[in-house]
Amino acid sequence: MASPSLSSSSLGYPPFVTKRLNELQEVEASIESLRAQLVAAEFRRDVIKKELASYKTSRVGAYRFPPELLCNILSLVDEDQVVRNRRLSLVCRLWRNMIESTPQFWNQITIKWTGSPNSFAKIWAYADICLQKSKASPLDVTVDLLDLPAYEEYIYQILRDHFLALRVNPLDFNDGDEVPYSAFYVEYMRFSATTIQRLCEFSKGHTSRWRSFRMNLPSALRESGIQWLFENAEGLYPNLVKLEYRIADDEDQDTIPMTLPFFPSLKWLETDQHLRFDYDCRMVSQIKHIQLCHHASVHFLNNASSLFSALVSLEMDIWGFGGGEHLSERVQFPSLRRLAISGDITERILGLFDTPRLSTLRLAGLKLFGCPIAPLFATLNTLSIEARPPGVLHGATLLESALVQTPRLVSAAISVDPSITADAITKVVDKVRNDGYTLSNLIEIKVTEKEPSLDVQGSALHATELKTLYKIDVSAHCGTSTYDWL
Amino acid sequence: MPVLLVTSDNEQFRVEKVVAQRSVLIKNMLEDVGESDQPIPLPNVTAPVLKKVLEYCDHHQTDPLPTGDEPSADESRKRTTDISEWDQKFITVDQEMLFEIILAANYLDIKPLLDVGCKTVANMIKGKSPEEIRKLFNIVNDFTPEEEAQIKKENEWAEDR
Repeated sequence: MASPSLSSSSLGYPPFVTKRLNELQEVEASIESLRAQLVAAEFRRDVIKKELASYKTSRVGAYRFPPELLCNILSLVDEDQVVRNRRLSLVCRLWRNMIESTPQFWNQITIKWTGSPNSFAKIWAYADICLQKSKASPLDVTVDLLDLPAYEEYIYQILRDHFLALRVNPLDFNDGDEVPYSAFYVEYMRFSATTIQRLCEFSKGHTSRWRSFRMNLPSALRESGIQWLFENAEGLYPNLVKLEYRIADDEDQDTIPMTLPFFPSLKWLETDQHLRFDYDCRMVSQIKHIQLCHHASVHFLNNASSLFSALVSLEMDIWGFGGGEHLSERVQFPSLRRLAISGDITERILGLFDTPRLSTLRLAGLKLFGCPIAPLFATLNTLSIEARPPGVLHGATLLESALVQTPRLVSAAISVDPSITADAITKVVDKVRNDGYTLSNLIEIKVTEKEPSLDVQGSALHATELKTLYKIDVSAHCGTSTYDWL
Repeated sequence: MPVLLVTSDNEQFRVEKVVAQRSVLIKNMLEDVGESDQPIPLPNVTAPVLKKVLEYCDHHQTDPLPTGDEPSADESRKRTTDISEWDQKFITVDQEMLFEIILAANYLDIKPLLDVGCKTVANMIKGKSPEEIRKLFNIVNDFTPEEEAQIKKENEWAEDR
């Protein structure tokens, strides 16, 4: 049966109504059509929005950085070069190509003992790859043998594979000498010297690319190789900027003083060994950072005079009575901005410094403020004090002594044992201000503790990190002092 | 004397010269045009980003300008991922803004800000797996499984170092 039609005249409507009904039907059809168009348009809109959203997301992503910027970011990822390159290479093709083809991703040559002769061989093979891929880029070279085991473990690692088939422990055999396999012993004792020589031979033709050289050695080895390096340095390292070498502490072994050879570009020096400068050499007037151990510090202060005119940062240890008590000549450091001293005759040493531009001072140890007011405090804006163990001045007295000498101070950090309370600090600051010292720049005082615990004798400043326990707002504009526990 | 900066979205910023000159690009432009009150167009920077950048420049207006002759400047800059407390707070923004700040610092040639931004992104990458990095930056893994396996194999020795 046909469905009834509204336009049908058979319904008996007058012509006027029939006409309107037909118009209504057309309008309804038109609305339907527009609705369909609307649905289609909405669908299209959603598709476009989705596309735009994904475009926006990819713009937010790392793709938007120009290659040189991405390269810079990736090179800043502060991780071991091997681990970093491996992981970043697996992200996508772009990153892999960038890492493979950019010399600066391969400029760390690290010869590190990581547990076995086999892996040591792989380290050398990897170093060779780096040497090639780094092309002409400056090299940061490291020799780290701190994990080299004691001789018996070392010899066991070398021989165990040979003895495996026999199912015996190589150390069960003894050739009658005091030291097992004594021929290997000589080789072992020269391990670092041999490594340095091999490294120099290996990078022959590339030594002009050495930008930094860092060496960490265990104390057991008789020869460090650094002497050999120094003796053969002439003309080979024109671009070496940074030199850092340390040999693990061994109280039984006296360190032999060595004289630093001429490295024409050297600006940064750190060592815990007995090092001397050639004070007639022009190199001393261009060095910007020095970190020295006790013996070297005393010798340095006795001879530096006004020669180190470019020195910006100086860290030194002076403990015990190894010559420090004889220091008397004033030493001029016209460019020095950061000074760190660890020792037990600090009061004597502070009086020697002529440092018109000093802004940051870090003191650790004993007898920090027994001396008359030292002029070097006048320019400070940052001061850090670590005074341990008990027996030094009480923390509050120590802080007061410091504050009255530092009119420009902005920030102080104090680490004393026993720890100083927030209330005590507030009282000290109020007292000093009431005594007429405005301390108008002073903003905050942090209470810190050492992490890990301080080994007082011979502690090296570089090895100590200070953790802030809480800080106190002591700005002059702050009506009441507040403190934040961190 | 204040300087007038105009962003890509036509917003105007009037800032002290000493603040604007933290940008080497603006500094050079000012030197080129001499004393003038002409606005400086910055077609690659939007207003919200420039506002952030100027906040940084204002806070650091008295810092010594980087000279590049610091001891081992490049190396020490790269090795440290330390960011000062203020800078850390400043750069705690959403990822889109962080990337915009980096691009703006690069364009305006503000090296210390560029360093802060790049170090922040580098810190975000540090310690993350390739998959986590892809997720973080919306990167598509375009390696075939075979290629991925090959790269892993090439670096296998590093696992048992």
